[in-house]
Amino acid sequence: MLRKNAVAYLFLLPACVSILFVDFVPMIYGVRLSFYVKNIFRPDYQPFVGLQQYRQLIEDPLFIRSFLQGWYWTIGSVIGSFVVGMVAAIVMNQRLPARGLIRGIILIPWVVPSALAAMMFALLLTSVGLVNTVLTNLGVIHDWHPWLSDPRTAMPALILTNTWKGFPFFAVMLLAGMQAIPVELYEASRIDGATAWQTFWYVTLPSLRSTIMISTLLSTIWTFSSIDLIYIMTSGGPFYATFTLAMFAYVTAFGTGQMGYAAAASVVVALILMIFTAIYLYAYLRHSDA
Amino acid sequence: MIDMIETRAPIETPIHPIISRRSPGRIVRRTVIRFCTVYLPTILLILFVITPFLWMLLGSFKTNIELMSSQGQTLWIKEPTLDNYVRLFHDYPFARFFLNSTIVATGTTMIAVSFSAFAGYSLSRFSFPGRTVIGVAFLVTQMLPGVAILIALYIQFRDFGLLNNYAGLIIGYNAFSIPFCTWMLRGFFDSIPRELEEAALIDGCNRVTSFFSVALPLTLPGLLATGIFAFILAWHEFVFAVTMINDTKMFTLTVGIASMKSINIIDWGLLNAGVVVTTIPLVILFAFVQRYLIQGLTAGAVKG
Repeated sequence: MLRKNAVAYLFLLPACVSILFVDFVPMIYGVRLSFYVKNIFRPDYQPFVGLQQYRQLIEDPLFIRSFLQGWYWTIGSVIGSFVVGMVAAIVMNQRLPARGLIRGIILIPWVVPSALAAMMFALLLTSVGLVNTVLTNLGVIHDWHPWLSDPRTAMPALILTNTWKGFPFFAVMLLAGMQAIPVELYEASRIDGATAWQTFWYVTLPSLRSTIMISTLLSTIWTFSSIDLIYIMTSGGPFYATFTLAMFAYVTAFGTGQMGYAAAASVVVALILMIFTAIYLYAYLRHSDA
Repeated sequence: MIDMIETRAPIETPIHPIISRRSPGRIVRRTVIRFCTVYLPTILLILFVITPFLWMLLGSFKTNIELMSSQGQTLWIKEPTLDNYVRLFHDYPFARFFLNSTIVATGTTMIAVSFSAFAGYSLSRFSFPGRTVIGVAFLVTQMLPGVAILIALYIQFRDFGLLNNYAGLIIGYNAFSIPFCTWMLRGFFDSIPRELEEAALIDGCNRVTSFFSVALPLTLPGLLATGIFAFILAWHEFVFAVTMINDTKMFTLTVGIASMKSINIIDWGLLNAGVVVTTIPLVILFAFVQRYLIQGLTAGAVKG
């Protein structure tokens, strides 16, 4: 049996060995690390403490706050990107002049690294940036507002940036899904006299169910664990207003050097994402027609 | 057969009593609706995407005095200057950053695509014990939070001397590239009809040679799309690089740009110029490459 499948296993070998060593082993090492107090500034003191650091996490107010803000960040970004992405997909699906060019332009944020998008929007949101200039000239606000320094507006500003960066992903996924919808469905709805909105709501959206499910799931997972944007734009501030759970783990590890505690936090992040995935898929399959 | 065709009734098209199909009023109304639902969103989207770049471009030619003026910014540049760009290239080793990013991204892409081509083919074509488990394992690794892996990898890299060098970055980047590329390439291999390889097998190839002579050439667009994807992912990466690299000479482009923003002194003009220099070439390159990317992505996504 091994001989027969030798080629199959051989082909898999390089990739499997790689992900074993750079994905699974570090993950297991991280779990093991969470049971020890390990501070890189104190290499001599590394006692085994079992689940104590997990108990510390639950009682840590910053952890609770990061957890809630992490979801604020994630849900805001995913909804924003999804809505703009849906509009973009519809636009890209239309027969327009210079269609290829329009598609290319709309997808530009996807090719810009998060770090650069973060820099760009950090500059746009400054006191003399685009946002303040436009809003004061339009009379919406009287004086410039420190978007990234005000704890109330910092997170929405970050969500706006992430929407700009993230909507092309949804646009491409939804466009692919839309193009797979059989034309007959649209013809039938037109014969039945449906308006454009009705067609969208009763034909397009239901057909996109699985695409929507997979894209929002992936986006949620990636956004929840992402720190590129937040790290560059606000570093978690002002006064921890933009501190997400992923930021908590990273800053605890590389800011204060508490590797064990941070490992515990990142294990919690992984567990949260796993539970979320399970609930999400369950809800999706439960309401599936097939 | 013939009488079935004959007796099929024509579809009745209702005629509105007041507005006939060709009347000018209806055409105007249709155009207005079309404008609101199609053209307007298109224009707004394009503005949403492009405006940040244009603002950067504009600002990069302004002096710092003008940029920080309390009167606010205007579309007209009062004192155009190239000074920001001069200082940019003088103070920051962009060529070095660019080189580092290129080396790391190329290395990652070559390894990721080749490893994933073999793995994706295996998962697509062969059935063997453990196939489902391994397939799920590849999927699950994509969902692992980067932070969790990052902490452990930092400690291990530090012990193995993989900090501050290309090898460490390439190895680390493959952690997320290989699962993703395998998933993509598996989709592409799935879309190739098996009959072609079976014909090759009948003609005397074994599994391995049929892979190289039949499957691989047919998946070339897929390999290209996957390679471009992997390259872009590695190029964009920031967190891993900023954690593992402390030596300024080894900074990748994203880290180099981020390093321009310090907490205390912010040189607006310099930052504007820096962002322009790093994003505009990417955007232009993308304009040429995007058609292949979309084709590759939508083909894989629909089938998968």
